[in-house]
Amino acid sequence: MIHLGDNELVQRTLGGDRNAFGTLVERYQAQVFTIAWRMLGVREEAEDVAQAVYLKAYEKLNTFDTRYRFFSWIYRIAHNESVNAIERRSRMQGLDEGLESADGHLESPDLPEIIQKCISQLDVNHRSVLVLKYVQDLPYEEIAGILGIPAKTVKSRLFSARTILRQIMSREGLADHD
Amino acid sequence: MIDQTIRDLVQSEVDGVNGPAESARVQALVRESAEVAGLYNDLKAIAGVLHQSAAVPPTLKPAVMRAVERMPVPRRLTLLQRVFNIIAHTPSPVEVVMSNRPKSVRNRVAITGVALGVIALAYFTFFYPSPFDDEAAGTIGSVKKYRSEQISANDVQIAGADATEAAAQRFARISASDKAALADRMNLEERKAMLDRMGVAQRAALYASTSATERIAAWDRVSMTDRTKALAAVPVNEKASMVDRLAMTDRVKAFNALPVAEKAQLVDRLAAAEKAEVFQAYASTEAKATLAANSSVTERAAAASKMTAEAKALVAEKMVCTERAKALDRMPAEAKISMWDRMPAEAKISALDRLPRTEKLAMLDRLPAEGRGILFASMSVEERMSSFAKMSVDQKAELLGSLPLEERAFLGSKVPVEMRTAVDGKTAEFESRTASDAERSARGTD
Repeated sequence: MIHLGDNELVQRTLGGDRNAFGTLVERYQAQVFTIAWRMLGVREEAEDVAQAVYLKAYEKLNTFDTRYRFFSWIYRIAHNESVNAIERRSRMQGLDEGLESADGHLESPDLPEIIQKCISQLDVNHRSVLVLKYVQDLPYEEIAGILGIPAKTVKSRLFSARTILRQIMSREGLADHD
Repeated sequence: MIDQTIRDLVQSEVDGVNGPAESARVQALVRESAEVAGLYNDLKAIAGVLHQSAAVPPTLKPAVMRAVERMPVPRRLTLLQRVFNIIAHTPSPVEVVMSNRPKSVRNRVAITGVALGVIALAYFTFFYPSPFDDEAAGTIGSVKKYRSEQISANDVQIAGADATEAAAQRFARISASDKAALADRMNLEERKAMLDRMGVAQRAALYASTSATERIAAWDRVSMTDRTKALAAVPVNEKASMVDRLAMTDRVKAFNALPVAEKAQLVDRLAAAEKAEVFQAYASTEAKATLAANSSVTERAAAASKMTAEAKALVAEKMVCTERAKALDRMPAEAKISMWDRMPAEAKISALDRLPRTEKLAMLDRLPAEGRGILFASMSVEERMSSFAKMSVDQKAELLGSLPLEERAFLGSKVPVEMRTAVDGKTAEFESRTASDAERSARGTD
């Protein structure tokens, strides 16, 4: 089943073949999880969001228009679910601040976590565009379609995001890690 | 300052969207200008870092597939529906607001949601054509027949009237596997048709003749869809009547035999007080923690949205401290915070000990002053410092006011100079308020 295209797998799923959906899960789980993790910065929350993404996708699979690409659709769900999770978190009185100690340094010096912490300091708009760009090297137009903004905005936002991120990373002493 | 056009060109190069001519131009610019070279290298470095993807948790796919197994297969839309969707601009899944409104099933006698499901299923699985209907009631021909290996449709005889008691006795005599095999040969409609011919009392009498093991075995043989249909088809008063006939041990046995997801689904149908009772009476600590851990985020959200604040509080109250701590361990941060708000101080301390430092700080932020004082005392110096630095002036003052002098002096010295006057003032105010409260209390005039 692994050789089948996304649309074929969608059709099989709609025909009652849950294994076909399993193949879709397998195929995009790394990207979906990475989007959630990059957006949220907490693995446990990212796993929950990734689960929710797939369940929502399964539930609404009959509304998926096969003229479009499945991965764009699932990335869009992943992005929106992540944003919803961030909003829910904000309503719970700023967990983001709670994840960071007062002196600005996490106890673990692990590089990926520090980079993730830097990404978490970006605002959601910048974070979204950056995360989607690097999940699968999506072209600007694809990101624009997922986020519902013009491709030109994607490009300028991407530049600002990278610039800000670079500043944050320098501040965190990450210049040497490049 | 790099020109906007050059900046875009460099960015496009890093993103791999430039053509050969544009790439050559970027390379030339990089050679000529240190500033452009710096920008190019910076963007490349960031791209290199961000291209790293996260390691996928091995539990992700199994958890999704477990949940998918329990969900109905999404139906293909008809052409008409598709056209309608286009015209009406049906929102995409990501726009759909999921609504999980609680069903208003409030059965006063249904002490256990679990028992409800088992009973309802048992109706349709075991029940027999009514002996009270002269025209169409059925009965079992010979007990011996059902002990044969193959059961045919002829084994079920449509006969005249028979006494419920006799039918129940005969039914009780055949083995559980024969009963199940018999039920298997009927579809849901047939079972329901037979059931419809019987009165509540007769159904109850027949039901009472089956053992808990038989009921559970029957439950296991029916699909989830049929279970749900069956459950929905049984009126509340009948459920109540059946529950009354079950011994408590049978109820517990039936509950424990159900998969976690079904337990949760059935519990959803209960009122707040019933939920609390069921949770306390039937679930072990491990089961409670497993229930929380095995649910997907959607299920957890659905369950939480279906519970009122009163229900949540009741459930929390019924748990012992270690149970709360254990359940808390397995929850995502957001759920932890929500649960945290409902815990008494001693439970918080026990739970807090099990949390990593970052989560501990987030939890601490949400406490009222007196709770924070207790918890603060149980934290390490490093944790205290981190937490203290994050507090507002008011929070700092209240905390200082509730600490012994020695600790207050130490922490007070850590307050930034520009905040000290404000904190000192607020601390004095807090102390004076606390002292007068205590005095009033002592005089009994409060």
